[in-house]
Amino acid sequence: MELRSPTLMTGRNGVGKTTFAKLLTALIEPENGAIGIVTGGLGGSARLVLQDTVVHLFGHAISGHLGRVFCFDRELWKEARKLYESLLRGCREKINTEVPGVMVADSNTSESMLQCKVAIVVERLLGSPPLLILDEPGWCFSRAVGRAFLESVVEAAHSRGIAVLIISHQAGWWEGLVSDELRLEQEDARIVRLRHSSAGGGRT
Amino acid sequence: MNTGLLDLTALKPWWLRLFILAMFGHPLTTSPVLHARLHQEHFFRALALWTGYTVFAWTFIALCVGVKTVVDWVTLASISGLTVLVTGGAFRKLGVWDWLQKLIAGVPATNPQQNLMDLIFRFIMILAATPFALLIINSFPASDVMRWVSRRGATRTTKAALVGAIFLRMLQHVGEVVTRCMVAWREENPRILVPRFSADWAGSLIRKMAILEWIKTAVMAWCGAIAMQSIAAVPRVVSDFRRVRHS
Repeated sequence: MELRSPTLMTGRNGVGKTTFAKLLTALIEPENGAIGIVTGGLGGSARLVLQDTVVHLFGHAISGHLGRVFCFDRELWKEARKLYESLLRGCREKINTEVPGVMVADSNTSESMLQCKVAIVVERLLGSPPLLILDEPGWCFSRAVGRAFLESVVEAAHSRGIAVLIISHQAGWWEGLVSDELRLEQEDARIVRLRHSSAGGGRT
Repeated sequence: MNTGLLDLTALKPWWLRLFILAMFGHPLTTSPVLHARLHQEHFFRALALWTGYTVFAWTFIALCVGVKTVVDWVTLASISGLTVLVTGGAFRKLGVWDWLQKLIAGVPATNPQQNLMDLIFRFIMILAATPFALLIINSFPASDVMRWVSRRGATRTTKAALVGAIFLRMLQHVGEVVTRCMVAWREENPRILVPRFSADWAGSLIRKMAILEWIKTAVMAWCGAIAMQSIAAVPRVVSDFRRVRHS
């Protein structure tokens, strides 16, 4: 199946969206057959950002997350801090210019869900996976803030040659931002069918 | 989602469920993991029996909760078991056990060989007991106990049952938290016991010793995650109780 990034994966509750994402990230091994991702030269498994993003912090403050994850790779840690600052700044600028009535302060003194998600995404991007999977990226955000966040993440991922897959119930939220759509439909107790539809634009 | 073939929680009355679990878990309560009862002459026979029982327990648990859940629980048990094995082995080499026994009893009551047998047995027992304990916790929904309490009124027995229900609900929540954290941990560190990003370890053996620092970081991260996420559940547990009381 040829898909363009960013792709939206949707389907009703319990159909297996997260299970499919876990297969792509090698958190679950297929019982038979194989599953693979082919993107612009990057290999390995996909990386996943879970819907409940806070669980990735393991009780640490957001400011301490990158330090914990990259404590044995100082080069990547430096790069991570730079990418975190630039991605966060990009998100804030987008929110301040595109979301009416919302003004996000340019300060790192308070810790927010936006900072949390950006920190997790930065860690994922620096591993150079072929695919970044975002499970409900709009969780805890309003539609407008969610879109601004997603746009910034997709830009950062594409600049590194990483494709993006979004898992979401709210297909309407991401209208105009996604290039392709995958729909998971339960055919019977054992078969789930993937339906592909093109939304135009984007890259393969 | 429970994908098991047998739904233990649906088995009524509750004491029948308890009886079945007690029957299957009986060997765990009569464990031979005592220094005095471990002897070299029947060590391998006992080890084979307990390994067999562990496999049997995993099969029974898989039938009740599904293969996916049992794999998560066994992963957790393996990490706990390995932690005990590694730290116990280090203590044994350093002579900590002998020193402790001398301190308490005046003379060492066991020899190093018995200590080693004891460690191996503990590892196998943890592999069997941890998933089984999680099965027991998840076989008695706390909401059932709460409903029973609300029907009976405020007697001493029901108050004790209420405290038990709160404790059970918290334990179940911690179980859910551990499962969620395990997914996040495996995503972050696919090799589980080694960090994903460890370029600084390349080269000398001294640099590789940073794994000790990593173990400390990992233990602190897990303790922090479980503590924070468990405390975060308190409002949910309170609202569960209120809902049952009002219904």
